[in-house]
Amino acid sequence: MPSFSILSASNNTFRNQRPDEKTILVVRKHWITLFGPMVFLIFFALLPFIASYFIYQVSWYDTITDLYWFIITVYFLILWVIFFGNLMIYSLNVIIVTNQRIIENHQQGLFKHTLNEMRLDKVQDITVEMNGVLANILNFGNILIQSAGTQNEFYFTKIPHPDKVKKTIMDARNECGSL
Amino acid sequence: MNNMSLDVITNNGSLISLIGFLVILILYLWYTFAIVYHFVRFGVGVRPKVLAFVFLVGSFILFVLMVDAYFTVDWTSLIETIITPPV
Repeated sequence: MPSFSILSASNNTFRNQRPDEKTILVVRKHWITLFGPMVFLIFFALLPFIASYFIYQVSWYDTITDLYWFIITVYFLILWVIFFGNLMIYSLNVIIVTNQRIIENHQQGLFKHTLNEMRLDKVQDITVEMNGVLANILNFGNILIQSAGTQNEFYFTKIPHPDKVKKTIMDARNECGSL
Repeated sequence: MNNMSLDVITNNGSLISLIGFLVILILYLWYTFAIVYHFVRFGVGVRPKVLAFVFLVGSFILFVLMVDAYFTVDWTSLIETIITPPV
């Protein structure tokens, strides 16, 4: 169905993309960055069920049953918005590698973000760091990209498959430089 | 004067609860719009669009449940019970 193709197919286009610019790679942080907030949210999501076990046993529960369920629905609605607010920030924190530049969108809040970019032909050196047991098991790490331009370096943290990302950027840089 | 204030609150229990509900509704609509807008407008690739869709569906379901729960509560007698001191 054409109207639902947006949910299955994408050319990874982005705002301010140039007409002759093609997206090569889109990278988001490793899912481990969401682990902490999600644990908190799951805990808060279970709280009403734990509370209801104790509330059911009080004698005046029957008088506030309807109010209790109204408060629960508002509570879960707020949790739902907070959950997807976190997911929004996670999914908008993105590194885009095109055939011309590397763009980093750093979403810091609902209405706060920074946008950095570096020309691909200015990339000089890429360093990958993988520190710790968890990073090696789950295959995520930090990438330092140094350039010759005024934007001296990019430092991306907790990137999945950093070796592959490094290779993709280097290949794109070499192809860009050979044109 | 205090008794008059309590009477005003008791007699307008439904109105007070409606105002509170509208405040929650406006905040919810604002944050829902902002999140969906950011997902669709600034999201790159398929994943943000899928998340926006899931968020909208879940929000709608929870919103309907919240409205249903709101109209189940007898706000006037509830506020009266809270305000009226026990004998």
